[in-house]
Amino acid sequence: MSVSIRQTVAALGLAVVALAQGGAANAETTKTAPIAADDPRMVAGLAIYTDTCMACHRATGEGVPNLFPKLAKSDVVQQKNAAWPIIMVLQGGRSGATDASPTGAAMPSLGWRLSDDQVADVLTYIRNSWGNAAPALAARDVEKLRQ
Amino acid sequence: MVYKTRREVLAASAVAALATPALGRTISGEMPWEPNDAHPPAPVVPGPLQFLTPDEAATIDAIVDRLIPSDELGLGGKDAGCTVFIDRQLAGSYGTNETRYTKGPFPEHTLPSQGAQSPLTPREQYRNGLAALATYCKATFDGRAFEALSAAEQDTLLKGLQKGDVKLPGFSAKMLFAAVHTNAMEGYFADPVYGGNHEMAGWKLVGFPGTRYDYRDVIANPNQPYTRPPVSIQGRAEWTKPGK
Amino acid sequence: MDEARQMTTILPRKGVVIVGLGWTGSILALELARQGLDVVAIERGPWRDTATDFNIGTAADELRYSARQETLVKPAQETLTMRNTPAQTALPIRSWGSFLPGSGVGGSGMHWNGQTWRFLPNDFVINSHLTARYGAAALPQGHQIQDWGVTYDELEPHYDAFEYLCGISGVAGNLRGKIQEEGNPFEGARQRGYPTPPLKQGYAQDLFAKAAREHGLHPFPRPSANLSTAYTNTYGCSLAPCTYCGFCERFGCANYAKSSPQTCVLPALMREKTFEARTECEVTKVNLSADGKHATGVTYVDKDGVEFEQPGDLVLLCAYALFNVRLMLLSGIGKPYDRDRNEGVVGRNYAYQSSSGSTAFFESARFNPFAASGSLGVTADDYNGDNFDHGGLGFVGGASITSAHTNGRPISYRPVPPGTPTWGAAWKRATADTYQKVTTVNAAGSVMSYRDCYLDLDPTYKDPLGRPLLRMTFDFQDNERKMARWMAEHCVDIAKTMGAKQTVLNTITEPWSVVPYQTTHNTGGAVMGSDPKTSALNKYLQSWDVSNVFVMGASAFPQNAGYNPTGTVGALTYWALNAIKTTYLKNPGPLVTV
Repeated sequence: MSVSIRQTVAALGLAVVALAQGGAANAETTKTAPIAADDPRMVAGLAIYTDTCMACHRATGEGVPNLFPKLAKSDVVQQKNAAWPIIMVLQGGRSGATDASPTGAAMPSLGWRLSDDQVADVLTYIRNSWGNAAPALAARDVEKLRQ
Repeated sequence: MVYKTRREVLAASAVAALATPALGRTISGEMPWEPNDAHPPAPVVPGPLQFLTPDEAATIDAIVDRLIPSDELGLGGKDAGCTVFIDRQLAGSYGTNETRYTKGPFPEHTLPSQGAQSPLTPREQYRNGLAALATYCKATFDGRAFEALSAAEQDTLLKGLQKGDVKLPGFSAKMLFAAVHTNAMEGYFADPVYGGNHEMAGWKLVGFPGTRYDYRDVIANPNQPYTRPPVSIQGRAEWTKPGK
Repeated sequence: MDEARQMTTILPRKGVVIVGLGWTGSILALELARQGLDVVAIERGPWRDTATDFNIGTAADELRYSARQETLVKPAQETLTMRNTPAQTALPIRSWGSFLPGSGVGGSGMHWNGQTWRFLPNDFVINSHLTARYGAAALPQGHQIQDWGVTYDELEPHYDAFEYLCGISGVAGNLRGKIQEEGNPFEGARQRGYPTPPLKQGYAQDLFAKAAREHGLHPFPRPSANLSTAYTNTYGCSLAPCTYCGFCERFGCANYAKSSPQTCVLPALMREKTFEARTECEVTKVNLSADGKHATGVTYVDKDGVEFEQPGDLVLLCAYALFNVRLMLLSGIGKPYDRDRNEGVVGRNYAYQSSSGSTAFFESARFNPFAASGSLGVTADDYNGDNFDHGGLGFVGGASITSAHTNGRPISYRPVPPGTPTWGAAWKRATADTYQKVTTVNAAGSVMSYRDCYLDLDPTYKDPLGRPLLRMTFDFQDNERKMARWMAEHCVDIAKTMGAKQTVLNTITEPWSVVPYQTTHNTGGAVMGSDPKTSALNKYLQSWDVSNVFVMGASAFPQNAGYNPTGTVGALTYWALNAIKTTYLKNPGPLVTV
């Protein structure tokens, strides 16, 4: 996932800390069994994903090349420290643009639409679908990254 | 001198009032983008009326429940929040014609093809129109207000207003009917974030799925029933897990 | 006057000043910046971009964007006055209805449906063609139908450029002269196929395609700027596949699936070092030299009413068609059209688009109208242009006949059978029962040009800056009414073959009205041509009178064809650009002399 660090960091002091920590833990993923699909967090997460995320990232989590990052089997979404994906959902983010590929597609900010629980649940769903497996997130993980 | 006059005109005009904060921007170098930059509508929350008086609201409640009656197909206009919707719309920029062209002259004779030419704002249409309706009802129905009439009497009167057969004192019956009818339908079928379409009753009536943004599955399966529930700008119940 | 001059800030000179940053303005800005020119685009509306302004959580809001029209020009800022005939008194369009001009970066190209057509080869030489085939007497009374001064063959490479900019989804019907089974056999020859395959179609379109074939017609999926697959365009900009969300026309696209200046041009344009955009700034006039033959730049006011003068070498009018015409009239570019004396050119030959067809009610069906896109649809062109023999029909022109669902948004889309009340229990029952079981077969038709259909400045009504509003004098003439009815009858026949239990014939019976939405395809007023007496622009969209002013957009159409205009607007833009790049910049001056 190529998202402009500069943009995000410049905007949010809190994020700088979170990202520094996230950066250190970047490669660290926890190999666990995926959370069961009938877990209430997964059920709510699927509903949110279907209604809000699927139109870009697709039902399969495969995304669209050059525009919408692939979430399936993505290390970024499965890393232990989920600050980065949480900030993406809350604030949005923009991918890097170049002369050859100028679009620099942006993820819309959804912090206004989703509660802390809902952000946690949709990311829990993403972290445990399509072959992904990572610990569930809780509302408090999101709360501390909200402005 | 020309310029000064223009400036005064502009400052006093609706255009100035429409201005949003980020105006007169010079943009170069890259596509502008900021985190957290979203522009959602302010959700209507329950609470006291913001424009309508309690008497006006009671009349609107009665009208919208005849326009959209409660029945086995779903909520009526009142329970779906159409009055709240209308109240909040009138209290906001819609009520004061902020986008409409409002300069005169306003000639008496106009062509139907030229559209509405009234100088009245939606707020004035409701305030004056409902006052005229109240006066009419009082005089015609032994002092009873519109909301105190039987359903059959209300329907007959509404048909008269719609056709213009009923003459209200000092106000166009057709204009009042058109305003309430248009806004009631908007309230019943707009996103619930605006105060109407409670429980997404309007969307369920026709089977409209709301803000969903992906129907590739529907296109792939023609002529099949659509089974997913509607989604509002504020989501839907299933977004919240039990106990939260 | 001296005081006014002192208060106007005069800005540093630019090579190119562009008025309006929509499709045409953004394409020209990018291409001319790449020629090394200093380019400024002045746009009266705000900056808008996908993730910020078309956020997936806010984009699908019918009240905000459709009923309350948030992205359109505010009529309080600029509107038109309107009358049906020259004898009537025009009155202001106080709220938009029949057509919806956009405002802001992206212009109407941000909120369009995306139907991207090429006009037929005969459309560009229509007067010559019709006169040769049917005789001059067959042309309607009072008409001012004229050839464009440019041919389809000249435009073909530029149609191609615009289609590959957008990534249009479609299927070729005529590849270098070879007719292709699945495409439109009536289209002009194209050098190559569409950049992406056609969209998938819905249930109604499948029924229509079968029925149309039974009627001997040649249906094909219509070309769409809502893309069937991911695509990266000629400027490196990427688009995503359409998800059939049903929020195209009047809305920005949240998932990069609709071709627009935002998705196709701006990301590349903004990287050009010699380009800048000024938003929330309204150009009030193009300034001319004392002899009126040369533009010296433009004057504009920002949102605080502060006035600026932007000098420039080349001025490109890229506003909405109607507003280009008004700016020319306010600035004194070209001779205003005088209907009574039948002379002058600016404001002449305003035209529109005719709509007729059939509403078709089925006993049982699930059309799922919400699963749609702005350009989803199957069309037959057998009755378009002069693809059929008009002998004895009493009209000229034609229409594209289409089965489409562009949306199922219920504030505006709630069809009920004829005779249903507009409220009450019976209305509610019919509304619930009908939504899934109704579809349409529609004819989007040409509108010819007439002496009595034109634009000029209103004598009474002014905008907030004190400038006269544009006045539109327009009605559908007998030719268009006959054509619309003939088309509608065919639409009804097809709808019956599709299996409709009840059909309604919709045609033009009343004077043209500003109230119900019809189409934002306003054309003409600054038309191109080969004779300065009957055209405001030469064949390269250059003002005959002020040679450093070029005027883009559908204002250049001498009359309207039976298609939506944006494909041709895009082609004309690249065509004019080519002339500017290859000829004008080397030797500024008139590109055509007569």
